[in-house]
Amino acid sequence: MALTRQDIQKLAQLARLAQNPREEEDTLKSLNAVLGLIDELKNADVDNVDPMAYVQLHGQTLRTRAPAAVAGYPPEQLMQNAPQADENHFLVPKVIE
Amino acid sequence: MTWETVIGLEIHVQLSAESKIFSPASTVFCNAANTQVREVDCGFPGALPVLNRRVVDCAILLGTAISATVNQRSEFARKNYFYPDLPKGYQISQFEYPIVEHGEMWINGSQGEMRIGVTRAHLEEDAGKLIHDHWATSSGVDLNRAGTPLLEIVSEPDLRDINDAVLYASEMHKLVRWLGICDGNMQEGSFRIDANISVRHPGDELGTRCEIKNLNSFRFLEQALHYERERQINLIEDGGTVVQQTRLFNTASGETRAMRSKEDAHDYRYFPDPDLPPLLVDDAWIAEVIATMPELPRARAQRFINDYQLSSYDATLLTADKDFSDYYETLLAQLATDSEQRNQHAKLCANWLCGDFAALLNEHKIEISASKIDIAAFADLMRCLINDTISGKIAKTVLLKMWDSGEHASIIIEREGLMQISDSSALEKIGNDIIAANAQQAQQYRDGKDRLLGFFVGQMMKATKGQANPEQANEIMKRLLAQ
Repeated sequence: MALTRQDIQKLAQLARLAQNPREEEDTLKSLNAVLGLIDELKNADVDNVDPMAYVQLHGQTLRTRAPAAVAGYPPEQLMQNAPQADENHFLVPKVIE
Repeated sequence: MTWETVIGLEIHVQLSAESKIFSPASTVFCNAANTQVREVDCGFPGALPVLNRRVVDCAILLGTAISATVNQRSEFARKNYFYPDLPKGYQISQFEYPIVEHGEMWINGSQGEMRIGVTRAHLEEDAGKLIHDHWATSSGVDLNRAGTPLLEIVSEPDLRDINDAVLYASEMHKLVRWLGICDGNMQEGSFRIDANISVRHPGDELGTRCEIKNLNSFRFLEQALHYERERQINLIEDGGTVVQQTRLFNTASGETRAMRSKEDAHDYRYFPDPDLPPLLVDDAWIAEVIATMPELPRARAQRFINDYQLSSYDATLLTADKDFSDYYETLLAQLATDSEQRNQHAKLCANWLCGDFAALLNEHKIEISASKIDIAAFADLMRCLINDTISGKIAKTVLLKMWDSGEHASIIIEREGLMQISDSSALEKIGNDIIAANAQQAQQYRDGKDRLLGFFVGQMMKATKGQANPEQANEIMKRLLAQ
C-alpha cells in the first residue's frame, strides 16, 4: 500500500503540521519507504501468533490505594509555563464548538 | 407506516477514587482553578502515567455486576486530537482491548423483563474544563478535571423505546451508586450520557444514526430522544436522508443541533500507549474485589418479596438507593432478632420508611445518611407503634418532631405526654361528658342516624388531643350511646 499526496496532506492537517510542497514530497517518500518495509514484514507467516503491542510480558506497576491524593502544584507556579495566563487559568485563543 | 426507534447509550461514569487515573492529584470537585494539577495532568513532556489501582477495582465491580467478562489482559491506547482542554494532544483510553466486555442489564420495561446487552466498558481519563465567557478574545483552561477517572459503558443498540432507554440509564445510575463506584452527581457531571438514535421501518436494515452528546439529566435524555426521533422521521418522510452526525441538545429550546458531521469527524489515529504496559488482572485480584461486592439491588428486592412478603412495588422502592435499603434492613434487625417477628414488622416499617419518612427526605432534598433520625431513633418510633403506646396519627406528629431534633420517639412522647389513652374508665368519663354536651345528636343517633357515631368518636379524639386509642374510642362511644 502506498500513500498519496492527499494522504500526506490529511495527516499533516490532523497533526497540525504546516508543510510546503517540497516537504510534502519528502514526507511522502519517507513514509512510503517505511510502508514498503511493512509490506515486506507482511510476508512473514504469523497465523499462529497473537498481535503484540508490547514487548514486555509483565503487566504495569500500579499506584496502590494506600497513599491518597497528593497536593497539586501552586497554580502561580504552573502558570509560569503558560505563554498567556490570567486569574490562574491558561489562556488560549477563543474556541467555541 | 410505523417507525421503529433504535437506541444505544454510551454512559460516562466518573469513578469514585481519591486520586486521578494516572496521576496522584486529587479528584475532589473544586472551584479554585488549576489547584489539583500534577505533571501528568498538564502534559509535561516526559511525565509518565501510573495507573490507579482503585479504578481497576471499580471496573471489575461493574463488570461482575452486569455478568460481563472481565478481561485478564486489556490495553490502553492514545486517542489523538487537538483541543485546548487536552494538553497532551491525546486522551488515554482503551480501544481494541477494553477491560470489560459482553455484559447485560435487566430492566422492567415496556416488554416486561428485558435484557439490554452491554457491549463493553472501558477506562479512560477526563479532559480539562474550558471557560469561554470570562475573557473577550480568549478561552481559559482549568485542568482540575483533567485525568479524572472515567468508565465508559457502551450498550448494544437493543433499545426500541425511549422510556426503556431512560429506564436503562436510570438503572445503570442506581447500580454504579449502589456499587459505590460513582457518586452519581449529575449536576457536577459525574454521570453523563451520549445517546445514539436512528429510525427505520420494522424489519428494515438499521437507519443512519445520530449521536447526541453530553446529556446530564434523565429528563434531557428523554426530551432529546423525542426531539431527535421526530426530526429524523420528518426528514425521511419529506424525502430527505439522515446524515450521520454528532449533535448537541439545547436544554433551553429542547432541540438538537448539528455539532459536526461525519466528513469532518476526527480521525483519532488510535495506537497502543507506549507509556503504559498492558493491564493484567489475575483471578486472585478479581476474587478479592468480588469479595467486597454488596448484594445487588435486584437480588435484594427479590429477597424482600420472598422473605418479608412485600409487594414488588415496595421492594423496588426499598432498593432504589443502597443507604435507604441498608437503613431498612438494619431497622428490622434492631426491632427483632428472630426472623418470624422481623417478618411481622416488615410491612409496617416499609410503609413508614417509604411513606412519611421518604416524603420528608424528598421535601428537604436530603439523603437518608444526612437525616438527623438515626436508625435507633426510628426503631424506637416503630416500637411505640407496635406496642400501642401511640396511634399512627400521633406517630406522624412525633416523626416530625424527631426530624427536627433527632431525639428518640419515646423521649418526645414522654416529655409531651402523647401516650395513647387506653384507660377505659378515663375514656368512659370523657365519653359521657361528650354525650351530655351533645344531647340532640345523641338522640338523633339513637333514632337511627348511625353515621353520627363518627361525630362522637371525632369529639373524643379531639378531647384527648388525638391520644385516645382509636379502636377503644370507637367501641366505648358505641356502647355509651346505646345505653
